[in-house]
Amino acid sequence: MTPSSGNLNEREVICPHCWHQYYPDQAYYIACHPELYDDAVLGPHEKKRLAPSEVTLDRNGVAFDTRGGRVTERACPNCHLQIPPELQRQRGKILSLVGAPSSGKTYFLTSMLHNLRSELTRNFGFSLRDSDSHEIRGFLEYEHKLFGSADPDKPILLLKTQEDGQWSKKVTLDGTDFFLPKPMIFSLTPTLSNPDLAKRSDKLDVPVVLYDNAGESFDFLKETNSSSRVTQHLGECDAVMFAFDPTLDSETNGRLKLTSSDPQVNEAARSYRQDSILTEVVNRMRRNRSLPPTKQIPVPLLICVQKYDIWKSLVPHATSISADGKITDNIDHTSVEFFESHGIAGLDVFEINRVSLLIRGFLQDISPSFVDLAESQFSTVRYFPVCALGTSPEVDPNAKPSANPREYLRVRPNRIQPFRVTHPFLWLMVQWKQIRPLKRMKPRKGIPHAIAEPVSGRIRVTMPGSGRVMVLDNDYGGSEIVDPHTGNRVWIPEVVVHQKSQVSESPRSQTNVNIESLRLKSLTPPPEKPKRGWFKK
Amino acid sequence: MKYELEVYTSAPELLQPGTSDLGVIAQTRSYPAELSRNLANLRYYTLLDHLSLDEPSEHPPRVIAGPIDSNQYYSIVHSVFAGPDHTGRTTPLVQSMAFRISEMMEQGVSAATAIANAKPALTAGWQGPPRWLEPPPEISNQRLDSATWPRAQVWGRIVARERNEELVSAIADSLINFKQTSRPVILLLSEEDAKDTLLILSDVLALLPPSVQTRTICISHVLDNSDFFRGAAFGLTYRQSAFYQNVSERHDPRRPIVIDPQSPSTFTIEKDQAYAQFLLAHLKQSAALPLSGLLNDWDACGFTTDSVDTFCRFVELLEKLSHTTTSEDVESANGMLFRLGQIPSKATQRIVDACLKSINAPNGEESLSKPQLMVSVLSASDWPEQVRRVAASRLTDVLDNALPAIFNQSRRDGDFLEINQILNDALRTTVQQHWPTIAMFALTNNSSPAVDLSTKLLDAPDIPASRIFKWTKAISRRREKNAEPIIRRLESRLATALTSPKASEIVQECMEKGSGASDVRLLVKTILKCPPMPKNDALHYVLQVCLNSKEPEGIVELIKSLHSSDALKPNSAILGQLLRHSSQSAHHETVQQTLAQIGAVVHRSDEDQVNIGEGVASRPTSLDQGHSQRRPFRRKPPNLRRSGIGYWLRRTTWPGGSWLAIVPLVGSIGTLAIAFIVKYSIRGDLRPRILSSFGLLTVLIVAGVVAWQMHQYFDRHPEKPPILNFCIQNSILIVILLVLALSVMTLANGHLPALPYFSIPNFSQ
Repeated sequence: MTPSSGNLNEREVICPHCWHQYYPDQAYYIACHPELYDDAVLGPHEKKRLAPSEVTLDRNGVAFDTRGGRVTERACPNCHLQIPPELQRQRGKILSLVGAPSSGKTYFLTSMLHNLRSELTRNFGFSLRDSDSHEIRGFLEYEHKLFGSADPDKPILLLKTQEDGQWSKKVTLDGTDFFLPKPMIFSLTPTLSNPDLAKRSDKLDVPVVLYDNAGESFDFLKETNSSSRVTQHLGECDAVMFAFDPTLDSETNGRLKLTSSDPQVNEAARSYRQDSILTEVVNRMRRNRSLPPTKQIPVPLLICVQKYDIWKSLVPHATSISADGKITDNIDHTSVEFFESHGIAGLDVFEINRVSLLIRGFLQDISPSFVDLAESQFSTVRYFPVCALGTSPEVDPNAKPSANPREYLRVRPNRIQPFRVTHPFLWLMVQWKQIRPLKRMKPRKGIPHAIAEPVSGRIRVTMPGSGRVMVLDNDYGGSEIVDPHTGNRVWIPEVVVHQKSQVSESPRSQTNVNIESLRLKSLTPPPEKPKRGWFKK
Repeated sequence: MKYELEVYTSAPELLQPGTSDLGVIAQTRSYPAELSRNLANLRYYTLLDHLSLDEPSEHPPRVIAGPIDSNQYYSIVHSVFAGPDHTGRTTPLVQSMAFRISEMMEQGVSAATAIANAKPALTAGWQGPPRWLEPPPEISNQRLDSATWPRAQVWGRIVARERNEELVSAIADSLINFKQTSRPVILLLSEEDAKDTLLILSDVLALLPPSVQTRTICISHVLDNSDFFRGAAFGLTYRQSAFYQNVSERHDPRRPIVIDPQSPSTFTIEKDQAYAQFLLAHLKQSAALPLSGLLNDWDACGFTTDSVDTFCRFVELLEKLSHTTTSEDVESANGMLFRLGQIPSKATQRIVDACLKSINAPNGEESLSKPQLMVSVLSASDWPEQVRRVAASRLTDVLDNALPAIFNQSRRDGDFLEINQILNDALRTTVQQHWPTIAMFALTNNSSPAVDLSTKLLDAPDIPASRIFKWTKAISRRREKNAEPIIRRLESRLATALTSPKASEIVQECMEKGSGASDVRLLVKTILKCPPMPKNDALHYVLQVCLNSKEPEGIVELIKSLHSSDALKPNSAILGQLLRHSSQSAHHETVQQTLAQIGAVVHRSDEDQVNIGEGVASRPTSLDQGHSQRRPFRRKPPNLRRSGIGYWLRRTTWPGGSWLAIVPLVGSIGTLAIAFIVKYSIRGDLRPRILSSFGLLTVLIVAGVVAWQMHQYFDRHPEKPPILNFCIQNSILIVILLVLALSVMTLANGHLPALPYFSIPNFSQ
């Protein structure tokens, strides 16, 4: 008998490969005896999957296969792929990473997860652990290459993500071959230092499922392979991270060439219509979720604008000059604030919102159609400036000359300086009520107030200086922003919005905890934050 | 040969306008869209970590060859690592070649040929803009010559030169049996050797029949389980791969067969690997027929992978037939044909052709032994009928001319006719050794010329009678309608032999040790059919032989034959001898049969032969050989009743003298008694059954009288004890009645020895 089978209130488990829903006690067992191979779904060289009726349970609940081998691993009864124990207990948080080819998705993902491991443990009382999953090996290799190199000065490169094979698995369902994605599954668990461990330990322990696809998989212009379901996670995800690469915009590239020596904007420059990728993502999400065109997608879209080190000079009002002539970075390296009195850090979501608006302004400048598409289709959109590497890739001078005139772009591990790569995920954790945001502050004196009024679940904001109108979501209420048009700081008053915000919460993962009750009050005044990290200049 | 091609890689501009990065950059216009979709899942290349990215040529290709998700196209998907793309990242280059299978078959291009000839058409990287490939590219149709195997020098690197053939033979054997075993073959290679994957695949596939080549799915660069999908039969992997690690842990019945060139034990060819043995023989140049031709025969004859062993025997047979020149060869080939089992009809025709070819070998020195060869073919019962007919026809032609000369010619030296001595000897040998075969063939195939030939051959002067008898026996068993003339001729010859002074010796020869009842029956039948011969003498010979050989069944058959024949008079001497010897054989059934036959002879004999009958009937009395309990007979003094009956019936012979022999086999002796008694009883009037009914009637009358007397007495003296007083007063009456009843019953009992006697009324029929 499985541990959950006695629970009458058990919930269905969702397979992260095929999205088949089943009850935990219906999960198949993966045989471990060396004579039990050849699975009808996975192929002749995979270990046999045994239905619950085919295994023998002893009085301790330990399962044995037909040859007496002790079986511990479980698999989806539909696709027969392994399901980690974490996902057997509860539905995980599913994140889909999308973006154009060569926009830096894999680098970003690797860097984000690597930095989250340390940041979550150090500041938030969480640990991001690798799950007991067969598919995690690929990510660990990437992580080791970037951050575990024995020779940090030796240039390295991550392999290009291919459409099939690398991150997909072939299965045969009802006689038809399908390619299902191999997700990266992690376990987000609170550490002993987490102050909420005693009260909400069951809510804090969450599996996280991430999907990385080749950019080509989202290109609607190319013929799609009907048997490939590698992007079907879009129909189930709890959040979409869009890796937006401004260097893929030819006009931006032209502007960057003047200021940057990065090969990605010079020798290896290229262009790609990233709004078409987003269009395809929207279409697939609507198709898989059966959403009507009139309804916004109830999933937050996190637009992670990559390679910030290249294009930061193009962001309007990234820095501001105070009245006393002091230059302040509006986009600094972190929005995490540690509260020694609480023994835990909080995320300054207001700063994230503020930065998001600035980046939105930048994107509106270079790709207005993209911004419009994102905000019209998704209920919540945030823009994150990120930089997975923090350094420009380079051509290896020691590389042997070959017949191929092209060269690899590599990075030296010891020069990697990630910038705000963890913030998209931390922001999601705030939405999932796992880490605490900072408390709302009162408006500072001398800061003009914008005119705010509720409009269909959002806030319609009229900027005091420029008179421009912006439609923001409710989280912006009661916070200070930088007007992306003038660079002035503006206070947006809190507005009561009757319509409930449609943030990313699937019915299963909703909790009764009010996010306001989790907010941490800032103990120090915000303007003078200690500068840390690689971009303190 | 034309083929369809699709090239997939990463490029700033693809064939489809507006697209870039990974995608199709070049394609033939007629490339099937469905195939493209099916192969899309295979367009990836997994890099080996330990190889430098700066040297793409060091990375072995990933080749997938076979009819992948298509019945119409044979695909070769060649994926290589193409170095950096326009974005400075790694990129694969996948070239998917599609050959229409029907065209391959029409043009005789095997899969091995296609793979070998595809190599020059493949490129290591794509330079330039996207484009449509027009006209469709072509590869050479030049066929591979298996005689020059191995073509790939890589085999010399993979394994020691002297073991090359063994290695590939073992691989090919496993591949051709893949359908039955469901065990794919995994060849372990180094990355360096794997660079010649195309040549390796081509060389291995070339050792398979073309149809099997086309069906065999091969995959190289197998690193993970998912790289080697279901249905793939041949895989190339590396010792460090996760796939190999996984395979080496398996113990299930369908685990792949791993062949490690560094471990010779993994490709040692066992005796039961028929296909490997066959290949090894050809690859080592020890076979007569070219390998490619034989592999083509596989398809031409319609062999399937279910019949690999049969095919190997078929090939072995063809090899044998290709140099069949002597009778020994024919016999050997006959054995092979017998072991061949069920083969496709086209293969049968192929064998027929080969056989005919061997018969129709050009004239020369061999021609002298041709008649002998053809006779051998005729005698080879498993040779195709068509061939044997031809051989019979040829032989008939030769013998028609030669027989009179041979049979009428004595074998004195220097007195031969014009035909040469070798031919004479061949024909004589033919008659001596192969006559039954020719006759059998004639009968089986209803071949009149062969029947004539068989009959003619019997005119040969120096055929031993024992052999004639053996042939007669063999032909008679066939019970063919057209065998009559042959059998008549045989019997005639045998009868002639039995009339000779050496008849006893002939019978002795005919009745070899181990001859059974059928032999006796046949011999007796033959003897009886021949009026001029002194039958009793001959039969006596037969009997002697039977007795000497102690064959009880033969004796019984002899007796039966005598019984069914009217040509013989009862011979008490023979019968007595028979009975005595059969009793000695301790074979009760024989004794029973013998006694039955004696009874039959007695029964059949009329009044004139009464003495004969009595003589025969008295024979059982002579079986007294002592007092041993092991004897089947035991003696017993005649009781008064039997003696009285015997005297009363005025017969003194039975029971004879003062002693009566009684066989434990009561039925047999009883039968004899009945036969005797009924025959010589008082005209048959006093039948035992009648006597039996008289006895019963008498008892009823006596009982009635007694009952009536008791009734009278009790009426008169009701006060006295009934029984005792009645007996005292009527004792005389009761005694008289009892004596009367006993007499009648005794009389009846004398005619009723036991019930079984009356249940065998067969002699009167």
